[in-house]
Amino acid sequence: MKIGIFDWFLDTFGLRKPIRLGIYGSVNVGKTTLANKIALDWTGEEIGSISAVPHETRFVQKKEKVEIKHGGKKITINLLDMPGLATKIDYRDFLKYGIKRKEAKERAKEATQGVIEAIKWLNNVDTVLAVMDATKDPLTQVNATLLGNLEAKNIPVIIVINKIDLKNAKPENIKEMFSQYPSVEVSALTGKNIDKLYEMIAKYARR
Amino acid sequence: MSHKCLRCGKLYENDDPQVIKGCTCGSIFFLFIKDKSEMEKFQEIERNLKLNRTSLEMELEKEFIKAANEENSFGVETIKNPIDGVYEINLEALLNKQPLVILKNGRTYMIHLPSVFEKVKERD
Repeated sequence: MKIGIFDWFLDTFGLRKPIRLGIYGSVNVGKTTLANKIALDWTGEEIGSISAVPHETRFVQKKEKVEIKHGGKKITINLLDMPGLATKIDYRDFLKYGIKRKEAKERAKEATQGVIEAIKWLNNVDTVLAVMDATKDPLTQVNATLLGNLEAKNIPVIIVINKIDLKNAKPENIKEMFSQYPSVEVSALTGKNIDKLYEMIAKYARR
Repeated sequence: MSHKCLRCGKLYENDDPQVIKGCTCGSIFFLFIKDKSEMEKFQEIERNLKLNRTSLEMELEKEFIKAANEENSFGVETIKNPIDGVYEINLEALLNKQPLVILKNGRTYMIHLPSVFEKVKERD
């Protein structure tokens, strides 16, 4: 689809409201790596720091007015990188990464606040990228609860099957499990298939 | 005619000097087995004990699973904070906009009133 005169008018006069695109998923599935990749590709700037330590993102991170162009279509999004959803957060899990006890407890507290924030933000997102780790079993309480809730709220969702660059990745498991949702297999780290993701965003993202 | 160590179960013949010195595992207590029939009887007792132990282990495992499930179940609270730095989150309840109620140390409930009023407003 080509950009028409109406689109040009909306864009020129800033009348088009950006689509609020929320990146959701469990902990350490690569949400921030993906957000960074999208932000870097379209704005030249990253959105947040990444780490092997779980719950690195404990606050909602935003990058506003990111313009994504694909196949003659241009959409403007507000990119929202959410803290990882979890059902249990234990400070002892952070100790093995060399984090001191006091800091680990604070991290656990912030991570819990992050989960609450991410859930609250569900009222303010238009489309969700549900990120899943292709090397892990997708049938988790987080995935099932999140997808069920998005469906109930009628929020469009695209499943992003991440980490396909890893040898033990089994993206077919996720595709099979959640076949009713549009999905795309990517590696946010290497950028593999990222164009397909942009194609999906251009196709499915809506306000 | 043999001696069976009561700790490790090792068998020694009657004339084995180890029976006097004590078993290689360090135990000095042996069960004297007179003949073949006694040996069979003893083996049967051992088998029964093993069976009983297995069923007891299974019972214990069931109890453990039950206790673990109870631990994961939530009441009025949406977040449990059993000890400092550990949080259990009832994602489903929070996603369904249940009020924020924190159970601290298994005995103190902390209620986030704005989220309760939000829920009441929604019902009206």
